Amino acid sequence: MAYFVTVGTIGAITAILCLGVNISWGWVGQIDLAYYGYVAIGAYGAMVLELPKAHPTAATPSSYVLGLHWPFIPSLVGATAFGGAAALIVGAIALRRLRGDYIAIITACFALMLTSVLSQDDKLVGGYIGIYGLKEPLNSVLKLGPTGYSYFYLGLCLFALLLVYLVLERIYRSPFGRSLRAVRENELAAAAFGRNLYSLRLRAYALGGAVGAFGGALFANYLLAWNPYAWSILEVVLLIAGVMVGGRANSRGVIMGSVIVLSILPEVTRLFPLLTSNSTIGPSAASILGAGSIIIMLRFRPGGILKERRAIDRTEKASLHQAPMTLTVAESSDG
Amino acid sequence: MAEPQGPALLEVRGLCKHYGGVKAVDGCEFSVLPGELIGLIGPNGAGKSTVIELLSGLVKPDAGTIMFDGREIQGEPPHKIFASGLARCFQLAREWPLLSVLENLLIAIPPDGNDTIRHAFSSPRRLRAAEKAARERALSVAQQYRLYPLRNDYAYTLSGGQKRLLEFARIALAQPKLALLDEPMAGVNPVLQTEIEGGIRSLLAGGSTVLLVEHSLGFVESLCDRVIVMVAGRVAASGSMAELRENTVVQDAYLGGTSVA
Repeated sequence: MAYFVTVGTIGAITAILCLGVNISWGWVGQIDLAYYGYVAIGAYGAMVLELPKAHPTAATPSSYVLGLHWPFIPSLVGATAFGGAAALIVGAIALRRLRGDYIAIITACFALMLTSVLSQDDKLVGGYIGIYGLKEPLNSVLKLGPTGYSYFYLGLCLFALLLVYLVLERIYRSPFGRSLRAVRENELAAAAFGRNLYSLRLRAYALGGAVGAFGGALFANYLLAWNPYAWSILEVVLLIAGVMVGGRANSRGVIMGSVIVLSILPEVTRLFPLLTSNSTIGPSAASILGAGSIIIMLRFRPGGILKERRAIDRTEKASLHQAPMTLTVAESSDG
Repeated sequence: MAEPQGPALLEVRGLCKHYGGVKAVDGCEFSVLPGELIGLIGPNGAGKSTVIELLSGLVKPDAGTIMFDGREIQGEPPHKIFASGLARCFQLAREWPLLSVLENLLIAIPPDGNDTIRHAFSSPRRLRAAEKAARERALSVAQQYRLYPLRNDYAYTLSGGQKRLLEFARIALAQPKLALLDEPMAGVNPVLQTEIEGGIRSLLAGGSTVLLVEHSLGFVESLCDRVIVMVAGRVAASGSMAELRENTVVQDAYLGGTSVA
């Protein structure tokens, strides 16, 4: 049972991360390879806000900035804000003039730079050693045992996923979300109809960074430690794979794709070594099936399992009679 | 040659755009009066479409001024130019393919500051009211352009003619002070041409000024009081079609040529 709780908790966090990637890839249509940087910023950010001041000793050489000893919830909010702010800075540079492929390249550069800085500078967030020593959040109040606490944290992550889902759905359906989709579908026409491409893209990018950092903060509070090896640029590709398989720009599809590609696939392939004599087949098979799923989806169902839904209008024509300019009313469609 | 009188809505002076050695627009000058339906004609490559791109801000001019509604707008980004009341339709329909027809129409309505992340949460009642009003306007224009039955279809599923109507419906919803129409009649069947003509007239009736780029001289003659002729990047002549027919420069460059569409 503990196994399913672990898979479920990580699955819920991964689904949040996928929803964040979906903003840039699904809503705006650009590949953001710096995304894992915001996840890391959220994770580190939550830790340096929650932990007390660093006292590096020979036994615990890790050193880090801040150490504000904040409670869990404010740290979560703060970490989310860190991610959004970082994305705002990177986005301000990457999105001003560049398009498409160039955005993918420059965001990848930012991500690599960030990893180098965070892993080389051992005073910032502990360098290669990373940060550890976080206490289970809220458990000083709850005083639950290990099993009880794991259930609690699973519930917390599922609740967070629901919250992120509802917030993002609301934004997606709002005029802001509609403008973003217009930018994705045809940016020249969107600009010609009054949309500020740079501002819309930047705001969406910062939102994505904030969601990534929120997920990262939850992840760090689950693992209670974080270091540069916890996350790599490849993970972003897998998150995008989840979005592609589930359904680009369809939040429910994205959650479904995340569960399939990032939870079920790696867990099922974990069983493969039991069936063969090859002990290392598990992760390789997961990568092959994960990558294969992208190719299969792109070939046979490029929109993903659940396609993007368009808003359906059910207004009856009768209710429009008061409206002006009803000159021609024709049922037949042209051509 | 009749020069327009009174304060112009649009005044273009010394407008230039060169692509490498090609002088697409080379010292173009003309003005448009408020409420006017003015034609812009010229042989292929005369620079008509480039003028539209320059006016709408999608291409930045190399030199010259564009005075619109009392303000210089040359070099401003397209969204600012749209906000100041200048909207254009595209020669090749540029719909938002994976959005529904209704969503395509809703985007054409200026969002009035409602399209921010904050507004998705801060005042739901105000947003709902604004969305409802926008939807009603969009649906009534959809009826006018026979798009109502298609309102829930993806825009990419529309036929070429329907996409042309969608372009028109979007311009109508934007309610611009000046509408730039780039060859709206190109490749359109006669029935639809009548409908587009009706669309142009209802734009005028709604208070918009219209600049019409068109190859079909018959339409230009029947619709426009005043016509500007562009040749090789600059204005060769302007006046009524009857006057232009007498003009030898125009005859040589355009009307007398074999390339008349």
